[in-house]
Amino acid sequence: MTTLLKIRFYQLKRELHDLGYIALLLPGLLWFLIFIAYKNFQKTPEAYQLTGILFLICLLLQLIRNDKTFVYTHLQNPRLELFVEYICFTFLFAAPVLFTDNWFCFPLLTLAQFLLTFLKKTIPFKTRFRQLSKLIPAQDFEWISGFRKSYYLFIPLYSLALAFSWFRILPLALLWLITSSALSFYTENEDLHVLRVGKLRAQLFLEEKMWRHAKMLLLLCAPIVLINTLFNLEYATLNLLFLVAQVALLCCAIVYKYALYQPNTKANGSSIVLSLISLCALLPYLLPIPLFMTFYYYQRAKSNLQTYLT
Amino acid sequence: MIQLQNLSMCYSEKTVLTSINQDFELHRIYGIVGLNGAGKSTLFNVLSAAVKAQEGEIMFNGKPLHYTDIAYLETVNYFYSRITGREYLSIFKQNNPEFNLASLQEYFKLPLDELIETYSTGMRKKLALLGILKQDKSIYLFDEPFNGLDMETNKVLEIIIQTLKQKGKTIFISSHIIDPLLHLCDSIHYLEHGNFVKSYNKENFHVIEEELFSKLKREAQTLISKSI
Repeated sequence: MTTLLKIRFYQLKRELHDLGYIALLLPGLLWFLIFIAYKNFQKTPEAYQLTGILFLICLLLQLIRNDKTFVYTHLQNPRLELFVEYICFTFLFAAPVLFTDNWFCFPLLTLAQFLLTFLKKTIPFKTRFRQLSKLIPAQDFEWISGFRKSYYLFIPLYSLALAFSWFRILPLALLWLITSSALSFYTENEDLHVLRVGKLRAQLFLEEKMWRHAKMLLLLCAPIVLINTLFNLEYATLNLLFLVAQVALLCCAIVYKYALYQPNTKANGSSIVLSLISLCALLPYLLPIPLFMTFYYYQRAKSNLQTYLT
Repeated sequence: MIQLQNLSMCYSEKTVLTSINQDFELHRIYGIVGLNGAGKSTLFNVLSAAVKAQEGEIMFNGKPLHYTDIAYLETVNYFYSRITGREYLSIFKQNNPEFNLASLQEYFKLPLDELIETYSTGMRKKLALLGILKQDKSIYLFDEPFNGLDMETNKVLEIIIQTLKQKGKTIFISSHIIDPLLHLCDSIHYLEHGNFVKSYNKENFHVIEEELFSKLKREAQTLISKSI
């Protein structure tokens, strides 16, 4: 029952070690997020929305996790393992609801998480979207690869966001989910030939990558945010801030990847840290954290890449 | 001229390359042989600047060797997940004006529009080879290039290597299989414990097998005849 939890514990330990001094910020950030969750759980319909978001995150994890075959084949109680993992993952944020009038959201979320473990479907391994490089340049292979890995989430989420783009908060929440899953595009390392293809020095390489990918993200968000702003002019500043937060997150994911980059290896499991960071984008006053992390990891990424690009 | 000057490299406390001093003329094909752990792959990693040597320098025409001069075909080829062969090749700019994918595809027959994950080891090697041929480099490093390739592609690879030489490129090939090196290389260098201990020019290739493997053969024959 605790096999997966043990694995996650060791992953978390390794990631916290990699984080260095930034790890000191995490307890404060966690407490703050728990406090915000508690505040929102006291209100209706915010309590339902937050429960929905926590469920969607678990659903996203269940759909995109690539260890599903391993878990269902080799672990003794795979459903229980997954269930306990999801419970632990959301517990800190979901537990505050028990101290409010909306306490019933907790058992509802728990039940939904249990049902999730029956979702064994693995997307068949086929070459889809063969012409994708006509839309996304091959140089932006992270997006080509990432889209193929999570198109079944991207397309419905984006369609929903577009369909409800005049609603107040919903399209932004959906876009945030899209960006959050886009962060997983940067958890894999390219080979040295690909890294060196532009013959750029470390600083220029990072700047160009961030610039290109930020442009793509903005292009993706622009139609929805624009329609949303036209219908809700009072939210114009919030929408602008939202875009800044999304770009900051993306840049954070890019520099984090290259800070730990080693050629010809899968990247270190940075998903837990990236998930925590992406939570910052939900709350505008936490925006300085991904911005600070981007600056911090930018220096480390530059120094790491100098080994391979000089 | 490519000059390895006092080149040393160690991983943790294990010394892999020990003060290598060796000069290589340009526009030639060099075979690098040695037993497992002799330092062949490390030497190639240092040459390609994938890892930095702790000591020493590599000079190319009097200047420090830069990664942009090097094309490197590794033993195991690593690719980003969920991209097709064609997308992989599109990442590289075509600096080699004579590179003609359609012609090479007649021999390689790669399913370029399929995901690379569906490729066999040999197909992956062919794809990586196409990737490096698309770029015009001065020095080519082939680490165990014949591993995993079918007989036909092995012959095509030999022709490619000879053509690269004719075009004035300098080629280094490491291999456990000595036969293809004998008719491809201008000289063969034997690496042992991280240093070149013997070098053979074309005219004395015939003694390589005898000199390098006679003792090993004798010992193995005695041991195996007692064991099976």
